[in-house]
Amino acid sequence: MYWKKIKSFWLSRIGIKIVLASLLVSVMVVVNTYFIIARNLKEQKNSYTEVYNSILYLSKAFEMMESFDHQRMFVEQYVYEGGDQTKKDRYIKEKKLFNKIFKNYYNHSCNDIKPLLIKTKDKLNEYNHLLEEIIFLYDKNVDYDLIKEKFIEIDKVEADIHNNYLHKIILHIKHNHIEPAENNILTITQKTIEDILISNIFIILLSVLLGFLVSYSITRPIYALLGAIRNVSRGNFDFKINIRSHDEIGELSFAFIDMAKKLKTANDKIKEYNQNLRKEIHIKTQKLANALEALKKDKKELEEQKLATLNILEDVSESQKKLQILNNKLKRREFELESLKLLNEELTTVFSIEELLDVVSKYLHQIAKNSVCFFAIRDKLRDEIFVKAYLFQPISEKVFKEIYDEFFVYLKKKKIFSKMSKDNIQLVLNGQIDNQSQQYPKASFILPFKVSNNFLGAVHVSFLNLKKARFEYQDLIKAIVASASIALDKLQTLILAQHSRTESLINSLLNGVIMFDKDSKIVFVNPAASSFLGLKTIPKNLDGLLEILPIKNLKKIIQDVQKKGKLIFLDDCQIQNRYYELYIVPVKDYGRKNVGVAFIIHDITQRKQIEKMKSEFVSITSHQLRTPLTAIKLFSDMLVNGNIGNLTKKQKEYVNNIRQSTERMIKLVNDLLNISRIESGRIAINPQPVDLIELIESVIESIRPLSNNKRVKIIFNKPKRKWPKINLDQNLIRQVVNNLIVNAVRYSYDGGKVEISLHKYLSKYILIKVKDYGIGISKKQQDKIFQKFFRTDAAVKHVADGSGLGLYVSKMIIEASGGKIWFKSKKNKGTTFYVMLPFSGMKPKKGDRNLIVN
Amino acid sequence: MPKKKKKAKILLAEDDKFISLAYKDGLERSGFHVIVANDGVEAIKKFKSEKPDLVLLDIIMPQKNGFEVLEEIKKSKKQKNIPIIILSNLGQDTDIKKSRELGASDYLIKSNFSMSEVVNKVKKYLDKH
Repeated sequence: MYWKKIKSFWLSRIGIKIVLASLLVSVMVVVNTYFIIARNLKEQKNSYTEVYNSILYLSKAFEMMESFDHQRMFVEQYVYEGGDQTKKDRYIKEKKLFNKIFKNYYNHSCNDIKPLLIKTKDKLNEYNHLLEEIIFLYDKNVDYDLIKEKFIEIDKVEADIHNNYLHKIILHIKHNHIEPAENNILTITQKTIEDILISNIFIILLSVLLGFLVSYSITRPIYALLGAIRNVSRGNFDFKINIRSHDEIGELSFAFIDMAKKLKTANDKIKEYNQNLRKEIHIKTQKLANALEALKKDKKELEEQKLATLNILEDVSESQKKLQILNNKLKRREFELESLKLLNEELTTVFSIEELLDVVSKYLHQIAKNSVCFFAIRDKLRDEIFVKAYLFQPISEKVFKEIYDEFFVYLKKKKIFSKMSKDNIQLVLNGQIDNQSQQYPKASFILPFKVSNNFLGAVHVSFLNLKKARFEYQDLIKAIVASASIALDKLQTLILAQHSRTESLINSLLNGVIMFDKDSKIVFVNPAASSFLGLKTIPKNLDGLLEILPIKNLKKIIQDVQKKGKLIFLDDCQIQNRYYELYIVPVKDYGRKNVGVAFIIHDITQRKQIEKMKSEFVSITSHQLRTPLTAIKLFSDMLVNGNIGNLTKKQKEYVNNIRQSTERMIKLVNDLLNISRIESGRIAINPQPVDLIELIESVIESIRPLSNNKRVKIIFNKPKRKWPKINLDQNLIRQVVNNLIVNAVRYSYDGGKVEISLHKYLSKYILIKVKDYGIGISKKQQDKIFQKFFRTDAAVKHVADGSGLGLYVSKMIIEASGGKIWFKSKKNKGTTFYVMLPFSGMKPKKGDRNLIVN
Repeated sequence: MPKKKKKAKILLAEDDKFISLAYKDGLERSGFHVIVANDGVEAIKKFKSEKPDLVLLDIIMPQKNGFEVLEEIKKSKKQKNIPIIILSNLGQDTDIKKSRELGASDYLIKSNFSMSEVVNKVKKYLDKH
């Protein structure tokens, strides 16, 4: 069973088959070749032996020749080497040896050569005789020349032997023994090759046959398979393969059969599917055909519509062209309307006739760039006629005059203005006169400014360029002029109305008002101003006025105001024994543009008088009060000092009371004077670098008697590092510091303490802090602390005398110096006062008064 | 023999009766010789005739005021350098400035200075001179 398995598996393999077949072939070849070679080699062996023997003979022959040569040699040696016996013996030995060899040779040689050998031997014997003769001769000491002759004889014999006998022997061996043997070998070899070739050809043929068999066993099933494949490829799945072998091809065919079966089933399925698909396609195609029919119908309709549309399009394009033309006209109209609209808008923003003309000319210029416009307007406000010429292109003086004359003629003819003459017309020129210019008007027209049959003026437009002098612009220009007329009328009315309103208002003012326009022409002088300045007639312009106003650089000041737009205040202007304040202010219109300058004159004579009176009053009063006070003081001093005799204790006490009261009164007078000066705002501030720390210390020192009296300790928390000097008015700041510290001490309880400190506040300010632990200020009374003459009830109780002016004065001083003063207090706990001053210090202020230091 | 120190002569121009009396008393008590003038004209006359060493001058006076007197005094060549102290109750800056401009050596507000202080000032200016 095992064997069957092996057989069925291995022998069924194609590879095995091939291997076995080739193995068989090669074995046959090898075996055949071996046998043939073996047989022939044997034959060859004999020939080789033959050759070997021949060579042996040859060597023997050579041996003999050698020996032959040796014999001669020995004899020669014997003769030439002084008859050495050894040599003779050797010759004899050699001769014997030669004979031996020769005998041996003769016995072993073949019969053909024997006769030659005998001959040779004879010759050799002859040779030997000769040699022995030589020896004999030598022994006999024959003449050397004779020996030499003998040798020459020997040579001849030797040569003969060599050439005729020995040589022949060798040849004999060669021809009769060696060569035949050689030929034999060759023959055998050739024969062997032929045998091999022929036998191998048979084997080849055999192997070819075997190959065919093997290939047939392979190809037959392949063809079967091929046939089956072809069937399948044709779509014929019914086939039969008859394959019996189970080798690789067999397996392939089984697999193929499988595949074919599967393909068949798949094919069937596809066929089925195909059929279904076809059915569906058929249905769909029908539907499409129907749809196509419908579309065809629609197409026809569309075609018809298309034609109709084309006709319409033709019409449309025609209308389009017409529309384009209209559009262009419309655009032009739009532009014109736009221009008019803009013009009207701009006209609403003008506030003077000049501005109005500027605007109108601007629009005219847009239309007619190469042109010249002359406007003639009556300014109702100033009641004058003026003509403004806008030269958009420079023209010569001659042309200018021509146009102007023409315009004037028109104005006169149409009676545009009443009471018009060339003399009372103001002519203003905007543009350049260029006498080199060749321009002249190619066409022109004149339009009046008219509103409901009233003439306001006229405009003369001259075109310098004929191309532009088209009449299509005339309508636009007319429209512009119409708008301008309305605007002008409105403007004039408005100006007049406003003017009269303003005029009546200003005329009723008590202050003098003089208004100048931008060109420093006087627009307006109110009655008050006239009376102040003593004007009988109104001067035309500023220069006329400057003669009356005695102010230095007035013109420059006015220019400054105009330029910078900021008002300037002049105090103390004296005109004819009266005093005035003068405000020079810029006059701005709605658009905040400067339209001129106004003088506001304020009569302050009365104020001055009052001030003077006040000042005199204060002066006199202070003097009047002080004089008796001084007297009282002096006399009471004298009494107390004992200058007029000693006083009793009681008397002294009473006199002291008088002195104290006097001091109080003097102080009060000084305070009143100070207040008067402060309130007049004429206190001078002279800041100088002041060391605050030093100042505070000096104040503390100066009130030491007071603080010692009350046993109040003053603690000054000096800042650790030295402070830089600050610009302060020494007297004023001293007043304040003195006031605060004195208050702190006075309103402390006996034996209390006052703390003073200096701080930097927000890096921009200095802060002086004065803190006491005294009577404090009740909440109700805190808001009156800085009032003139105010003292709290508690303060009055605690300290009998006090003017109530100290803090008022301090506050005034600090606030005038750009600082702040405030406090924090709680009743019976104490008060802390704060003074804040900028690090930059006090600003200097001019003043003719100083505070009196008490 | 040491020369007896001559008493300094002081011209006091003051219109108020009491004040002039008080100052005269006080100054004499301090060892000065005092000449009193009651108005501006008298002040000038007495200045020229008495040739004082120092002048105490009030401003508000009848006839001529202190400034006018000051001006007049300063005109004289010989007595130009005599110290003149203004003793007034006017305290305005302008007055002080004016007096200084006119050549016054000092300006004291009567009500603020006690007798002894005035005397000290007098001594000071006399010593200087």
